[in-house]
Amino acid sequence: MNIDFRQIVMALGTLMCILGIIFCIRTARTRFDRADSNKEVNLGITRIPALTLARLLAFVSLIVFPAGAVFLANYHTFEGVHEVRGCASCHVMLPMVNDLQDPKSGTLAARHYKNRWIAEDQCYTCHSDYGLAGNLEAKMTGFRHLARYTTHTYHEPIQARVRFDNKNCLNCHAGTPKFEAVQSHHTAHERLVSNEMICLNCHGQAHPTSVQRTPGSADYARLMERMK
Amino acid sequence: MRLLRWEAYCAILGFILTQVFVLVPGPYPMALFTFIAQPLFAIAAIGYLAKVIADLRRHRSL
Amino acid sequence: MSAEVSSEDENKSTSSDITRRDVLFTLGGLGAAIGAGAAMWGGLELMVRSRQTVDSWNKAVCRFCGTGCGVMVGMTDGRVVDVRGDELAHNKGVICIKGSMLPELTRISGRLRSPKIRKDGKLVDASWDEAMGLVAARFSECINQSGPDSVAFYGSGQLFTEESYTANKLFKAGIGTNNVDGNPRLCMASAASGYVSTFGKDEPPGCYADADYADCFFLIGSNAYECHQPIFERIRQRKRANPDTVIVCVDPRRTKTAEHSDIHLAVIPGTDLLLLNSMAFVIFDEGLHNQDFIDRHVRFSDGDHEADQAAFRKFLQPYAPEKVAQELGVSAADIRRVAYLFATSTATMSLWTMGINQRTQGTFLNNTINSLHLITGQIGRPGATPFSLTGQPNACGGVRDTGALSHALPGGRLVSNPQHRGEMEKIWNVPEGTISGKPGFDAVNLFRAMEDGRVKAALIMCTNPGASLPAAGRYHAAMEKCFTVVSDAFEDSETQRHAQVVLPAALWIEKEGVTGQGERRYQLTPKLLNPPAQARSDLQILTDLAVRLGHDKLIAARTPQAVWDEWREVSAHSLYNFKGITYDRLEKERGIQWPCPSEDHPGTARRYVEGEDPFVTKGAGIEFYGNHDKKAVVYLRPYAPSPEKTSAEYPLYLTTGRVLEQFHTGTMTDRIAELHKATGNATFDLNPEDAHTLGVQTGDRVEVKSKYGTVLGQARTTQASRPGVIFAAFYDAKLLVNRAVADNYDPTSKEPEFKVTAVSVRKVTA
Repeated sequence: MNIDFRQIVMALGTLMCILGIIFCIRTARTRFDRADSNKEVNLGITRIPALTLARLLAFVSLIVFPAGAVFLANYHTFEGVHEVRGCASCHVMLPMVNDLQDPKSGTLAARHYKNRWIAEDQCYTCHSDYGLAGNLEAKMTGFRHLARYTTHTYHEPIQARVRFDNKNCLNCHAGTPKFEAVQSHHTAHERLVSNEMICLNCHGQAHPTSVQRTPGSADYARLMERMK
Repeated sequence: MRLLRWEAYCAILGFILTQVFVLVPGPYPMALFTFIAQPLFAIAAIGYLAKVIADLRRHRSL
Repeated sequence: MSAEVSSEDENKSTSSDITRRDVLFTLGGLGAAIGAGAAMWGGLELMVRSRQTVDSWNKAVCRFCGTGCGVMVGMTDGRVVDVRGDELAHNKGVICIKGSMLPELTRISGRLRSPKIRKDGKLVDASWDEAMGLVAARFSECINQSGPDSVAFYGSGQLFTEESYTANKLFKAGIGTNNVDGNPRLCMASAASGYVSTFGKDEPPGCYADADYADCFFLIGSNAYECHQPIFERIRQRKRANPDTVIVCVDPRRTKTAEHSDIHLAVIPGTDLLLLNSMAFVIFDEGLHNQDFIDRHVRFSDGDHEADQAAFRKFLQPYAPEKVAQELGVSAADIRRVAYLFATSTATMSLWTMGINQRTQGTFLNNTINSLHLITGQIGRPGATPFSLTGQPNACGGVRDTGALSHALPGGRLVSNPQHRGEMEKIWNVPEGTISGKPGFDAVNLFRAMEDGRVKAALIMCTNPGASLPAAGRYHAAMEKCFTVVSDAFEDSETQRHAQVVLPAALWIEKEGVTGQGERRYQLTPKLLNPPAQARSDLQILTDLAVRLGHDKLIAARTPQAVWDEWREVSAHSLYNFKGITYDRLEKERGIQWPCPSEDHPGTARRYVEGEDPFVTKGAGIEFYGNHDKKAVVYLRPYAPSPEKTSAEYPLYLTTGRVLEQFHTGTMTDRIAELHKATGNATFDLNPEDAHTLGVQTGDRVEVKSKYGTVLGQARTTQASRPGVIFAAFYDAKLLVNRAVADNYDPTSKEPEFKVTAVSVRKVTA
């Protein structure tokens, strides 16, 4: 279902861009001061003045189609970040992705993946703040990461500035029999819900440690390998 | 207004960058779209709107 | 658009070429767009940056159990706002609910704020000078009038190493008495004597990381799920990664650990040496032993004389599974199954704590667990090791390694050995003969000596014997008779109620110091806060006392780092050498495991293994260099039932333990609201069958009585308790279960048997 949608978006986006380019070329070549408002154009169903058509074209090519292209491309962005492939496209994220898919790893990410507790879009399911539904701050964070990455102004090992929201864990786990059976969850209930205490305190590493992801460490080369 | 040349060229550049991004997923096309194509569209639109408003004023419609 | 041909041509002809102006403007537009993009980025940087919740993260160590988790303490405006697991420390970011509540520990009320002296039966505020003056005067008086052995120090596995080391030095080499003991006597003494008699040196040879490699976990006398949760979590991770892993749990109760194990042997309390010897029988009987390993690395002994393998096998004959199954309360098949798994797994890791240590046969039990690993060769490689879990955060580093016990001297030396005494006198630069050759009083005997007046003055630091001693009620009167000085962080403990002087102490990150947790890892806790009001660190209290008693030259090191550097140098004269562990390294690294003889040595994960342990001879592979013949000893340890046997008068077994949310006597954790709420008041847990027989229901008040004392408390029925066994945790001052606990102890280690007391239970209607 999702894929079809994405392909529709891609097709529409392409159409909009190509048409946009054509119309813009048109617009660039138009002289709007040739005030020959009497010249009319026959569109088949109606006749409108040439100037009006030119003005309409300009409006479409400079406002409508750009807006449409921007909308579709942003939608493309927020849909793209759902996929693990999307995260993996930045090589600095490879340790996280490689570890996720490593059947021998004991990190939370790897275990969720190996046991198929999350069917697809594994990164996004826990880091759901990045998508369209998430909060504004997460999106700003995402764009900041994009800027830093593409300009190579980041230092390895990368470390999150913003605190991970427990809601991402609780959305799936809270209320389940296994969760409810653990006394400590009740003891710390308020603190977990308010993010004062982080789930990882008892449940350990989600991803490879910063030391493992530091260039030169023993694990670094292995974690950075592009798999498949 | 007489011409919308540079506005159109800016928009064309924007469309090219957007098109690349739509077809090729990846951080670099995404960055080009987000940080360059979008402002290009915005600047083109602003230039266009400035000329339209000036036009309308001249003809005392505004 | 087909009809506009003419206008198009017209347009085209006049506006074809791109002018320079167009190019310029377009480039300008592009430039402006790039500028706008940069501005967007700048805006993002500014907006996202402000969401840091914490000013600084500081590396530290958890205050609670012997796992010794590394934690990161988040400070803002001089307050602790958050504590997280340190993902770079050995615990890989995992801590438990108690550790998560450490921010609360720094805030809760009930801190001692000023020294107090008991006047007319009431504790009254006093100045430090007044209090310490009184203490020094009384101690001096006792020493002068009744000799140095009339004073004593009772310390703790929760003091920093620098503090225990200083106390030990002051009392043994300054005052000249060996009456230095502490609560590790109640907890790890049997493990220490077990390791020392088997391997020649104390402390587990393996490390926590062995849990990542074992295929068979043998947990006995340990409720690791609740008492060492990050370690048990690591075991479960191992099982998740490798589902063929087997977890065996030997425990009279169906604890949370047992629930998460694959095989649970619910043995009758006090009988498990039968199980261990029986496993040894099966291992030899079915040829599962590793003869090559035995030939190269093992020697046999019955404790007094040499023995050999044939003698050992003969000794094991009465322990055949079929012969012991009934007394144990498990089936012979189960015994064989567990023996088989233990011997044939690729790597077997044993873990145990108080269920094994707090026994009259504690030393024997420890020996036999070690022996099982030796006869099967399940030792000295990843995942194969006998690992004694430590209860307190600094029993290993602070008390065992520094020799702050009544029979010991630093680095594994003994007071009864004249050569060892001579070595320490030389190292400490005191006249020959200063250190007494007479072992001092161990914990239980120390309080008995206070009872009959042989000890007239005692300094008790960082522990709560009023609640933690067996037959606790008996020793309250002893503390009142003696001139008892107590240093503690929180007020109104069961111990303080019977003290004459109370001194306010600094807590956790209010002082700097090193702790040594269960896997020989020394870690540093930094000073991040000031102690409240007039509280001081125990080191300051000790150095103050030393100066007042005239030992200022002996106790010249006054800061934690100075003491540490001294102790480091001292350690270089023994096989407990950790000279390479400097404060500098401790600040930078996530703790270091000793032996570590030089600053470029990375520390030793597995002892006795070539390549890891710097003291193993090249080419030896595995070498138990602690013994003169470089071999480990397998002992013939006969089972003897506990002196506490059930009878008609006392038909049930009482056993004690801990729960996850509370630490020890609850002086810290029971003051934290969430933790108190999580456990509520302590209860007596009994099996529904027993409850039915006694006519008791959950919520009823019961009286639990033994030869040693009586305790009243609320009952709770649970399937977790085995029929015939009643359990209570010891965190609640209102259910002081130790009043009823027998104070029998292991004759070698002197560790009391908290785990087996015969009791009667009766419903109280009033």
